[in-house]
Amino acid sequence: MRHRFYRQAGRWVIARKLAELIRNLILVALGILILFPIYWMVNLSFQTVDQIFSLTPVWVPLTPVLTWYERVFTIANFQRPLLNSLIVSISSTVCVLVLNMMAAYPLARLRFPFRRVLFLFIISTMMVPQQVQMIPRYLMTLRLHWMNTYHGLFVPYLGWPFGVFLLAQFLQSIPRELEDAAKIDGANYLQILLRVIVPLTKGPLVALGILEFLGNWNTFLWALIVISSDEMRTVAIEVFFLKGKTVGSAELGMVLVGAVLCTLPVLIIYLVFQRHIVGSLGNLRLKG
Amino acid sequence: MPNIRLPRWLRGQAGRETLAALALLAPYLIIFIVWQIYPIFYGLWLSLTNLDLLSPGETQFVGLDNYARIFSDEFVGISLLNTLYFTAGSVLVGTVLALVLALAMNTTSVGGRWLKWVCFVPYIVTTSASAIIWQRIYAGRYGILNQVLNGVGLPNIAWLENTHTAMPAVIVVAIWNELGYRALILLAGIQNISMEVQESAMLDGAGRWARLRYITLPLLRPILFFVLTMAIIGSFQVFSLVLVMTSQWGDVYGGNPLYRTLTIVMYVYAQAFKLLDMGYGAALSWMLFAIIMIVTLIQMKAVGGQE
Repeated sequence: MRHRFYRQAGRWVIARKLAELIRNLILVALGILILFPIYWMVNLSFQTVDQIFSLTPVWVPLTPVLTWYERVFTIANFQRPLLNSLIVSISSTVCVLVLNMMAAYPLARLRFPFRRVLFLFIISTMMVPQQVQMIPRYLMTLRLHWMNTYHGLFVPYLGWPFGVFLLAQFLQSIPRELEDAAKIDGANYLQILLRVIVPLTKGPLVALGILEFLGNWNTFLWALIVISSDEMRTVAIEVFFLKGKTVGSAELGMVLVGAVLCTLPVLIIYLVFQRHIVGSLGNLRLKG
Repeated sequence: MPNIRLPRWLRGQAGRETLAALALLAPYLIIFIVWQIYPIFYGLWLSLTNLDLLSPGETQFVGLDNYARIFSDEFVGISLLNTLYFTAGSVLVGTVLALVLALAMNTTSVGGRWLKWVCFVPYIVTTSASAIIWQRIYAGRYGILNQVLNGVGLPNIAWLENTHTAMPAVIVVAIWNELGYRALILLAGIQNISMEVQESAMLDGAGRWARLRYITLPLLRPILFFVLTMAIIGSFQVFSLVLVMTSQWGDVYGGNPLYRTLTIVMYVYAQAFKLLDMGYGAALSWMLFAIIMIVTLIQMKAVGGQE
C-alpha cells in the first residue's frame, strides 16, 4: 500500500506536499491582491492629509486618525445620503419581492391563455438596454412630479423582469402534488400562494432580496438623473459629488471615508448572506 | 355575479384559475407595461422629434434627422471606438483571467476556499466607491501604484492623464470588478462537468493540459457563451466607473484625457441631460441598442454555434 502511495504519479510525497503548500500560498496571495484596493481605501480613510499625500506609502496607519470620519458627518452631512439609500433600497426590495412573487406564481404554475407567450415576452424585454428607456422614464418622472423623491428612485425599476425569471425558474421545480393537496383542502389560489408556495421559495426569495438591495444601493445613473437636490442624494452619487467638491483641497479624506461608508453595509450583507448570493449566481445582474 | 354570462375562457374551473392568475399578475403587469414597455415606444417616438428641454413648447416631428446627425457627429465615432476598446479589453482579457481563476479555484484547499470567498467582493462594492479608491491608486506622485513602481526603479506614469494609459487603466479596474463574478459562474460550470467524463479521460492517459483542451473547454462552451454575452452587453453600458474615475468638473461630455475615455452612455447622458437635447439622446440610445444587438448576434455566431 505504502509502496503505491509513494510511487503515485512518479513523485515523492514531500514534493507533492510542498507543491500543495506553494499552491495554497499563491491562492492566498491572489486573494490578498484582489482585496488590496479595499484595504487601501480603509487604510487611507484613517490617515492624516500629510500621510495620504506623502511620497512614501503608509501601509498601516499606526496612529489612526478619526478626523475624516468626524468631518464627513459634521461638515458633509453624510448621514443623509446613507439614510436615503437605506430607505430606497429597503422599500424597493420589499416591493420587488412582493410583486415578483405574485407575478411568478401564475406564470410558472397556473394555467391561462397565452401564459407561455406572456412569460417569454416579459423575459425578452431584459434584452433591451436600460439606456433606451432612461430618457422617457425621466420625462415621465418629471411630469409625475416624482423628481427628487424616494419613489421616483425605485418605482420605475420595479418592472425589471429578472426577479420574475428567477422565481419562475425555481417554482417550476415544485411538485404539483403540493398544490393539488391544498386545492382538495379547499384553498383558493391566494391561500395556496401564501401558505404553500411562499414558504417553499424562501431560498430564492432571500437571494433575490439581497440582489435587489445591493442593486439599488449601487445604482448610479438613474440616481444621477432623478436627484438634483442635496438632501435627496443616495450614497452612490454622493461620493461622486463629494469628490467634485473637494478636488484640490485638503478635504480628500472625506471622500475616502464616504467610499468606505458606502461599501460597509454592502460588505456586511455579503458576509452574512454569502451562501445565498453565490448560490443564485447564474442569474445575477446588478445595476450600475 | 351568477347572473352574468362570463365569456368562455372565464368559465368554470379553468376560468377561476385564469381570473386568479390575472389578479395576481395585475400589479406587476401594470408597472411592467407603464415603466418597461411604454418607455420603449415613447423613446422611439422621442428619437424622431427634436424635443429640447430648454424649449419644450417647440417640439416638432423631425423624422430621421437625429439619426442622420449621428452619422456626422464625430463624438459618436469617438465614443463608439472607446467603448469597443473598453469592451474588448474588459471582456476578452477579463474572461480569460476569470477562466484561469476559476480553474485555480477548483479545489477544496484552504487557498481555494479563501479565494472563492474573496473574489466576489469587488463585484458588490459600489462602482463609484471603487472608482474613487482606484483613482487614488493611480494618482501621480502620491498614488500607491507609482510609489511601488518607483520602489523598483520604474518611473512615474500619470495613468489617468496620459492618453495612452487612461483607458487601459480603466479597463483594469473593470476587470477587477467583474473577475470574481465571472469566475464563480465558470467554476459552477466546471464543477458540473461530470466526474465520469474526467475520470475516463484520465484513464485514457490524458494529462491535465489535454483534459483541459479537449474536455473542459468544449463542455464549458454554453456557460462561456453566457458569460461572454452578459459581459459584452454590460460593458457596452459602462458609465459610472468611467465617469467617476476620469471626469473633471466643468467637463461637458467627459472622458478626460482628450475624450479618450468617453463612452457611449456617457455621451448619451451628456446630450440628454447636460445639453438637454432629448430627441438626439433618444436616437443615440436606440443606436446603442442596435449596436449591442449586432455585437451579440456576431458573438452568437462565433462562440455559440454547435452543441
